Amino acid sequence: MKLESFSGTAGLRFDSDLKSFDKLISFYLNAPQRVAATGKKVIAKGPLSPVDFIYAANAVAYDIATNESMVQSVFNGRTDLRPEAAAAGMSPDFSPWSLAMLGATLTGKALLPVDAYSTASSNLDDQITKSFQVMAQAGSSPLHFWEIPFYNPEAETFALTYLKKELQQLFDWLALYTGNKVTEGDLRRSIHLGNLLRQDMAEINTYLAMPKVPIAALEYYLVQMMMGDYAQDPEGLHTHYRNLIDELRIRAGKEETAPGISSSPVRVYLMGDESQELCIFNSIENYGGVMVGCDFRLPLYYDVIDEAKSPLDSLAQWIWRMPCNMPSAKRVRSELDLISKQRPDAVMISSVVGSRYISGAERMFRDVIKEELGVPVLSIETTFPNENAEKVDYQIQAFLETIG
Amino acid sequence: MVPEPQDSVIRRLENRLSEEPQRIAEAKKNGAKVIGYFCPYVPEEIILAAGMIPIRLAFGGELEPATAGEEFLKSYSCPYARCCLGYKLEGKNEYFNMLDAICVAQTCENMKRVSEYYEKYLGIPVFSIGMPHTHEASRSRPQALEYFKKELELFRQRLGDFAGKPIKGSAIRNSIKLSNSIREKLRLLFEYPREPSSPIEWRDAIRITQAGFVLEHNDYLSELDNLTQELEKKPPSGVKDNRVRLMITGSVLAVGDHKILDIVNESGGNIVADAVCTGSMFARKNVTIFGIMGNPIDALAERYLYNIPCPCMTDLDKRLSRIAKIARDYNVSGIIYYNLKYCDSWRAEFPIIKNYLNDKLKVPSLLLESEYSSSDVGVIKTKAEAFIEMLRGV
Ligand code: SF4
Ligand code: SF4
Repeated sequence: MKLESFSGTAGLRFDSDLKSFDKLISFYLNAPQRVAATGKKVIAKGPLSPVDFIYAANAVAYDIATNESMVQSVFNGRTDLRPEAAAAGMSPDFSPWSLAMLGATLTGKALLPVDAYSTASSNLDDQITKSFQVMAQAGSSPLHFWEIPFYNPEAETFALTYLKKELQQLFDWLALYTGNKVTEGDLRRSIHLGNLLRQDMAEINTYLAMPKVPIAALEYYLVQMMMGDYAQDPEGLHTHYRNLIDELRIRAGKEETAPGISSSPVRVYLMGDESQELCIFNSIENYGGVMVGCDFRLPLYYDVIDEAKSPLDSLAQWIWRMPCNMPSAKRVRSELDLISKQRPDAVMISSVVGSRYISGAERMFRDVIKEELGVPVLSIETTFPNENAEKVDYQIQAFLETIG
Repeated sequence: MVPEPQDSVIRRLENRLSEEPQRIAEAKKNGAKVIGYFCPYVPEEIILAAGMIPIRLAFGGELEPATAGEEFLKSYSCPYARCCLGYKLEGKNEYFNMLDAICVAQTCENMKRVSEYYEKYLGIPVFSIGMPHTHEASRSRPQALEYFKKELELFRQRLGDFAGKPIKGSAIRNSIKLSNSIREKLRLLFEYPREPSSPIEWRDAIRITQAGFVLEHNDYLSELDNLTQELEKKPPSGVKDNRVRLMITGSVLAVGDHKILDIVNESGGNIVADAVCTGSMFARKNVTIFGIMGNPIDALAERYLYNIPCPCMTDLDKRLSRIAKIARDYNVSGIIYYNLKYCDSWRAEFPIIKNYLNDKLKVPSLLLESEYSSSDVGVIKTKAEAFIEMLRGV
């Protein structure tokens, strides 16, 4: 399956020479068949909620908001899931990610049948938590929320105690619904696999940090997106990531850049809300830029989980320090080193209309980046695919031309 | 016939309210500190025990501060949250101008952002309290309560540092007694409209409750004492009230946010009960006797964590049963579900709550979504009138 053949991606520039990416996308799109063949239980989770323990319970994690939206709304160009969500009583003011997920689920059109819902509550997006409640009710499906306590270093000891108890209860719940107890050994193995993927992503990022970037923005974005749930198969995803890294290494060895990237591009780091407007990735390159990093999924791979300690302790510490669990100013500061490593000339902050998560913090992000990195910042706002593509394209053009 | 509002008491309270900024200014000159808070998960008993002045910053309903708040929050953020920033930015609200610090319970996403902007841009200290969102009425998650106790203990220490002296347990116990007495009196007020010929309207009860967000607590308690005595003496009106009995629930009904209440009134509705965080929910549930006899922080944590399950908390079952119980107890014919635009947590639950109340009680619900502007008055009025007519069986 090639992305170019979908109606929603028509007109986008893909890197057709990057064969490993084509295979990765086919693997991604084949999820319903792959998962059905495993016979495993499918646990829906929110976009930034960690997944290692779901795989440790021998179940499959499904980032339902991202995947239903990406395949149904974006690739297939079916924005009509919005009225379907509204007809089911949801607010049209929600973000396009929530509405596509709700529209698909509440009308029985979801790509992957979900057995149970479980996601982290607290700092990871109210709309997702509430939507999970609504979808679980509608389908009479099991539902379990678990808490990531507020990030405050003064509270570390008791916050971690709390988080570990929450995780223990989550494991018990997973055992109940999957029939598989999460043992320490399972958790260790699963964390190890997750770490391999985190290392893969870190390695791919080193290619973005190079003067000649061998992967284009759109491909990188889609590669990173799959970290949301490890594409339902961490081992399979690792294999595909390795193949991609091999191909990038060859390109980098020849000092080749991905198609569409100019010879001395403006280096752009993208952060904020994940956008459904895929043309922005092409626009960066069309106007003389290159994407050198993107933090949409960074909270899932900013660091590896310590494998030397007890897996529960390591997991809890890692989760509590996920950048997305931090107050906004701390979150940006915690990312500064990672951003600097990519040597950006400019930063773009993406907000999605209807999402309150990043968009609420956009002003904070903008100011901290300007203060700390001293680079120009462009804020963009997108909604459903093609709804304000022209305006954003123009903004990106004007921004890059000013810098360039 | 509509019962007379408790004119004398309300007038006295309003006089006091107009004098309150002056009183607070005097207290500040004498070294008192003013601590603002938004969501009522912050135990004001701890603030009182520190010798400070707690003010619940539940102001809203005005377009200008909501627009001013867009300096930080997007226009597609809840207008109340925007006001929480906008009042401070505009400098026109005396209470916001007098703040020495704010304390923010980490509830919904908008509130979290409000606390972050205060911290970075608005030049006053912010005490954040971590809130468990996944606690359950069945107490199947004792770790949530344990965590919250520790958060409150940390708050006590930090506020003590800010005050320059530790906050004593005995002082907290005294303030628990005071706040419990206030809550008891307020609960009595909200009891009256259960009866068809109540000597006080729910709308007066909520105004009186909201006056307490800023008034000095001992004075406020004396006024509540006077009021309850007056009400006890007042005979039932005995006049048949033909208005349709309604309950209101949903997003925060801010001090100054009259639009929906006025429209419902004008349309022949009579709100007699509520489940809103600035109404009867504020006064629900006392701190137990253990707060006075035992460890006050433990008792405060119990009271504040398990009091108001607003929808940023995951305990939907408790919320449903609470709303249904109030609707049943107050014998209402319909529910006004007030949703501030972009308040996702409340909005998402509307279909569930509506179906539940319909199935269990055969009580219909009307969703009224609004912002702090007058542009939607016509639409809301049409909806409210049609709903109330439907309930009347017209
Ligand atoms: S409903 Fe809850 S979260 Fe919302 S404003 Fe009121 S107390 Fe805060
Ligand atoms: S709960 Fe709703 S009304 Fe209250 S601050 Fe949050 S978004 Fe606004």
